Amino acid sequence: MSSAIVVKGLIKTFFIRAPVSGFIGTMKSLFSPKISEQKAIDNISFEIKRGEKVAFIGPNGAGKSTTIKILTGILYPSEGHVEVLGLVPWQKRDVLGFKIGTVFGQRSQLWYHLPASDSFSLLSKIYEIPKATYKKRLHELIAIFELEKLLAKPVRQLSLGERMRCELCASLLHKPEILFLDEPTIGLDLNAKLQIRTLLNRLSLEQKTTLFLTSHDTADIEQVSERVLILDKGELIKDSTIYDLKKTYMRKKIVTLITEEEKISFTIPGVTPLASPPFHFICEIDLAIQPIEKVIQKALEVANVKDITIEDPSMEEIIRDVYAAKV
Amino acid sequence: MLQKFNKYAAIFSLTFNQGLKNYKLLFGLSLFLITCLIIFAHLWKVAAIRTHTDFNPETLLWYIAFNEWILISIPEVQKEMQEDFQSGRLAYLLPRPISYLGAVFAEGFAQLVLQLVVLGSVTFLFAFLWTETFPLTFLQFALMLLLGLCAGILGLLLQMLIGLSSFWLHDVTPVNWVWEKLLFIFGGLILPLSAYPLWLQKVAALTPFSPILGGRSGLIFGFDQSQIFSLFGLLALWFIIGSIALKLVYRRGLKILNISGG
Repeated sequence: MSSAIVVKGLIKTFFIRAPVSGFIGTMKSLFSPKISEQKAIDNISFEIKRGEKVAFIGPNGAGKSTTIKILTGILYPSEGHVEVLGLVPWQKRDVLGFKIGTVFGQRSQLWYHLPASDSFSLLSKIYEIPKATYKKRLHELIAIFELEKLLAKPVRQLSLGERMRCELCASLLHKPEILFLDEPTIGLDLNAKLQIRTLLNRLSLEQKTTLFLTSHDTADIEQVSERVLILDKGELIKDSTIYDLKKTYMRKKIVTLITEEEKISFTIPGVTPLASPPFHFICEIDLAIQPIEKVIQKALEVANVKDITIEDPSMEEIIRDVYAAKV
Repeated sequence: MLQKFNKYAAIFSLTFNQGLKNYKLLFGLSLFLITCLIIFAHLWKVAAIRTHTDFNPETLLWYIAFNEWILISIPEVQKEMQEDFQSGRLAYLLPRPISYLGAVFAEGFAQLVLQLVVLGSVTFLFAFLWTETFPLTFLQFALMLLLGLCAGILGLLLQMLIGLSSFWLHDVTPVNWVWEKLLFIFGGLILPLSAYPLWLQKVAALTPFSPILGGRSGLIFGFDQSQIFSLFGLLALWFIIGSIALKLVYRRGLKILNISGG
């Protein structure tokens, strides 16, 4: 499998005018501004294979947007080497534009007062898609995204979920080899989120599109991607498959016991009781200290247990642990 | 080449359709324009009686009509550009295989054409009904319309230049405000440029404001064919200067984006 994205030793430094206060300070800064250096990306390297589904995550200001802007050719790096589909993005932005697609959850590429089909037709011209190819491709995407009933409606009348399906379709008309998704499920309800994630997986499976996803919703990461790149303060702190990430950081389990007794309590090392409703006992088990069987054994000794549920910690907690480990 | 042209033509056609669907805006602009014309019509009637000016109030209303028609038709693309820069939408638009400036121009041009057609119909019908005169021959009127279109295009280009100041400023409103006032004064929005002191007329002639508004509409007071050619020439010259400035400022802006971040 060849590489879709290659990033080696990428550094991006911005030079920002330092803010000043007061009238005198403002006047002074007009003539001799204080410029401060800010490293937005600090020596990151990674490689993404064609067809991979990668989540690119990090807190606000971690350097995600800057990296995406470099990968799409909007910004050029201060140092380092970047190749996207064999092209240097900022040198060949025009050519690369035909091979990549972008979906930004908070921005629309559809024309508000017109039906989505009009926007699709415009995009087919922007991407210079021959008419017959466009028709075939649109037909294909309409089937995947179930858009038949939405095409004639003005975009302003679509729900957010419907609009996002149209946005995805619009980004895929020119059959991009890589799709950059920035918060694709932001603001959507649970059903719409699930639908978008299912569609993205189907897209990856059927069309072999490389997905490069940034999201603050850990469910997007867990349900769509197979690999995660975690960025913090411009540094790449983790590059791992979701499976390995869980294996490494899943040192805790949440156990819920439904008991005949209204309230039970027991103390053993490595077990932290959590807030529980009546007839429930919920606790977090640190597997490094206490094996799960011992805890259940102890619970059976002190109570009549009717049901047991064992849960993994959420992806959010795992990511929090990754950041904590870095600190 | 044809494919490239098709892209911009498609944007033009889509914006035009969207503009038609958004008829409430056109209705609002028409209403505003008629209100302005009614106010000026009364103002000039009173001024003509009191000051015994050489300008006849009916012709003056036509003069203002030709000015307001262009002024209100020029789309405020600078607001959308500011939004593109500040919301980060620019990052979304730039990777597309289409020129950002070209796309903004095609969009603005479609809005301009639509507004010129709708507001032109409203303005000239109103001026005709109000004054019960039509001061031009059919050919002269057609030439005035063509000049108006060219003036609108130049106005659009200059609004784009204001929009580009978003690379440096958080809000382009003050720049636009100053620009508008200069246009009102040096363009002779409500007072024909020929009524200005000679030195001010000379200064106004050196700016792009005069051919956009008063220099062009002033033909209503005495249609001179040689002036038509010089006005077309002036508009073309300012268009070339504006286009070069637009390209240079845009390039500089993108550089700033790379140095200071978005």
